[in-house]
Amino acid sequence: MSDSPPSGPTRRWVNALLGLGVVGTITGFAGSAFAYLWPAPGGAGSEFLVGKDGLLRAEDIGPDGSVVGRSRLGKILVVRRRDGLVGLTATCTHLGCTVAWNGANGQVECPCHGARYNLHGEVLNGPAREPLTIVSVTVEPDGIRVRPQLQG
Amino acid sequence: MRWLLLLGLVLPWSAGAQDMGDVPPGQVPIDDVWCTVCHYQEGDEFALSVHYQRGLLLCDDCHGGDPLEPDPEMAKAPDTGFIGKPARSGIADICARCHSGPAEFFALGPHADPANPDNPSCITCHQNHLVVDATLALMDTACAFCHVGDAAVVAQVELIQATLHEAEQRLYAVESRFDSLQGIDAGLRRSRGMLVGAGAVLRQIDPRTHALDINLMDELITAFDEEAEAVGDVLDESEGARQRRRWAVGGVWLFVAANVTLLWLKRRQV
Amino acid sequence: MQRLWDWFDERLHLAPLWDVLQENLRKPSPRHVNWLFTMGSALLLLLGVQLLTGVLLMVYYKPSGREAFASVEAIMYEVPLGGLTRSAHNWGSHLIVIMALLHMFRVFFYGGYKKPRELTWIIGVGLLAVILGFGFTGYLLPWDQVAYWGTVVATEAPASIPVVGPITREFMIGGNEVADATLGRFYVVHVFLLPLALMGMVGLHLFLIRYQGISSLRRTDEPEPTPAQNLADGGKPFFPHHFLKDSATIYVTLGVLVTLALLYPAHIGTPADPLSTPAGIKPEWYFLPAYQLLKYVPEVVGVNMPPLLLLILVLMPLAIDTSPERHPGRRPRVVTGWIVTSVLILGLGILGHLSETTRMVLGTAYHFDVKGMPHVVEITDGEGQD
Repeated sequence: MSDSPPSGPTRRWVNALLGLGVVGTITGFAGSAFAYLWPAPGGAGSEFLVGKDGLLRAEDIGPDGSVVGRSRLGKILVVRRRDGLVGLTATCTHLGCTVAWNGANGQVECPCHGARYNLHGEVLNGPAREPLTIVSVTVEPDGIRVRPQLQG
Repeated sequence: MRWLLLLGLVLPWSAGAQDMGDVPPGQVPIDDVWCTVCHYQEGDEFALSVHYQRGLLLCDDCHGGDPLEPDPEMAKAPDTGFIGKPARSGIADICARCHSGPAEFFALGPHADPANPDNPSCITCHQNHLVVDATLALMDTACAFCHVGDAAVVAQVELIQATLHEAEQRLYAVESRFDSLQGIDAGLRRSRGMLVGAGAVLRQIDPRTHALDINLMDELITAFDEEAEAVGDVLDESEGARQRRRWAVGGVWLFVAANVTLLWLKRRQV
Repeated sequence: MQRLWDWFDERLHLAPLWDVLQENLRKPSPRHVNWLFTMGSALLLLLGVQLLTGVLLMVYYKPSGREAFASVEAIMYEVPLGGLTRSAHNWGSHLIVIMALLHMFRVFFYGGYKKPRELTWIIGVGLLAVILGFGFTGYLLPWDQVAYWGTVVATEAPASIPVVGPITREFMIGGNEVADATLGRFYVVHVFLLPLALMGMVGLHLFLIRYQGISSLRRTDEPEPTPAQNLADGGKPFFPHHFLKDSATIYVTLGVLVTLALLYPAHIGTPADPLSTPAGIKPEWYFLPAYQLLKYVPEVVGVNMPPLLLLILVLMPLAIDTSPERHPGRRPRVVTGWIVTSVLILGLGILGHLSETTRMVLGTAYHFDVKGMPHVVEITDGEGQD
């Protein structure tokens, strides 16, 4: 590196402040870019189950049939059994894939790595370890309302 | 010699040259309109009008006939709907086909009766062929043409002009304030409907002018004022955003000045 | 720090490279180098700003006819600091054209484009064309009425070139009318191809400038002053002396840009409607002279004038201004020709701005027709009264 000129206190101040100015300018631009790029919140989600084309209707779920939709509580799987509708979170606790209902063997299955659950959310087969969460589903005129299950 | 070569390259290309001229998109070039072969003065005037320039009308829209038919007899044949120079009493009806608003209010005003030979028709003030956008300046010369030296009329004209001008200024003030703040306060976007509504109210003043009745015009301005006030309240809230930006600009220049000073100091050291 | 340097030096043998760099940065420039010579750096800064704001805009902009307008609105009104980013990009584009023209004028008057620096000038003319290309392609992207119809008007012209005209136009706009396909093409050119060309050309342009040094005002048939002679004349090196001036200009330019972006945000009009042409559509100000020219001369001639002008610029040091004199006072004919041409182009631009508008001038209302000629707006007695 070339030899630097002799420095005195004024020289140091000027250099430091100039450097601060440059850092300040760069920070200003970088900070603005950061704020600009800050991810927007995904949206609160609805109390009612929403599918690809809009609100989902309970009538569309046949006996032993199922539907997966979005809600305020995330992705939810709703299955129609003999005694009514059962609702579970649909995000596999292993690595996050969306699970599906298998009417043939009465199990909730994950297509990614073969995890299986029962309709209480309990894990029947790994690699998942944590259970799915039961949610309360009620049929209303406006659609299928999804709420957290109140613990007894 | 090199220039000749250049010319040789350019000349063949000009074979396809076409003068852009004044022909607006979608309109027939005035030279292709056969009426203008004889009626060339009218054709020249019409070519400068807004009716021609905006591709809206040709000769037949008011006079009937076939403007693209070269044979004069066939162009004016009965089955073309040719009416020639319209009767005075029929002029307002022709213009009213598009300008129904002004026609409606003109019929309420002092000049309404076409049977009275002293009354003007639409084309007396707006011209028949060289029709340009109606402006306030139109009233300066048009009225004085008949009402020579009539102080009462002059006063009324000035009052109407002042009212129109006032209306334009008010609308312009609100609109430009809105536009300038729009980029600054994103929330304003939702209030645009209010502004459009207010503007729509006020724009009805132009047809109303034709009744030459100040009361009709004032009534509209009052209605506008109420709507404009509501818009103004929304804008006042947004002024805060503009004020913050002004402060930010001040800060930016302070920063720039400080750094330029430091650079000058550094320059002296080096 | 020294250890980091040593790590690279052991592997890449950087010391000689560093010495060459230092030598080129610190060699004294001729004495006449003044504040006018800082515009090149300001241009570089503005290009950097355009790059940064452009990349940010790309994150949220959607280049499809259906989504483009809404995405620009979202950027203006929903993305944090989106309006500021877009306004900076918008104002930046205007400032770049102005700065590029001023820089070109400075180089012309100081004769900096003469031997041995013709290559630098030619690349510079290419850069001007690239900058105008940026403006042209970027203009369409918001997909509002002004953008759409301005592009329709601007792309009409090439069709008049015989034989290749129509196919050139269709290739350019991806069809026989401006549509979604046009947007796709213009977008790729604007965000990838032109930046690639720009970076290559700017790199070369900067290298040549540093390598050859700033030109003196001596005749080209005299030897260039040595660094020692420049030093003796009182000339200063680029680094650190001129660099400090550059930095000051950069700060001020940034200040101007941020002020404009904050106080005069970019506008967005109404969504593009291919079925409805608004009145009085004109291109952006730097294309107005070419646009207005087309109203006076046959289309084939008018369309070829802008490329001809660029060609003339390229030929300046090669064929047009071949005198060995650099000083503007000693090349009166070329300087006069340049000034006269500039005034004519400016005049065309003013006519273009006035045309198709009605204005009050000193109390009288004038309507300026399509050719920019004023007509007094007045009323004469109507004909047809029976």
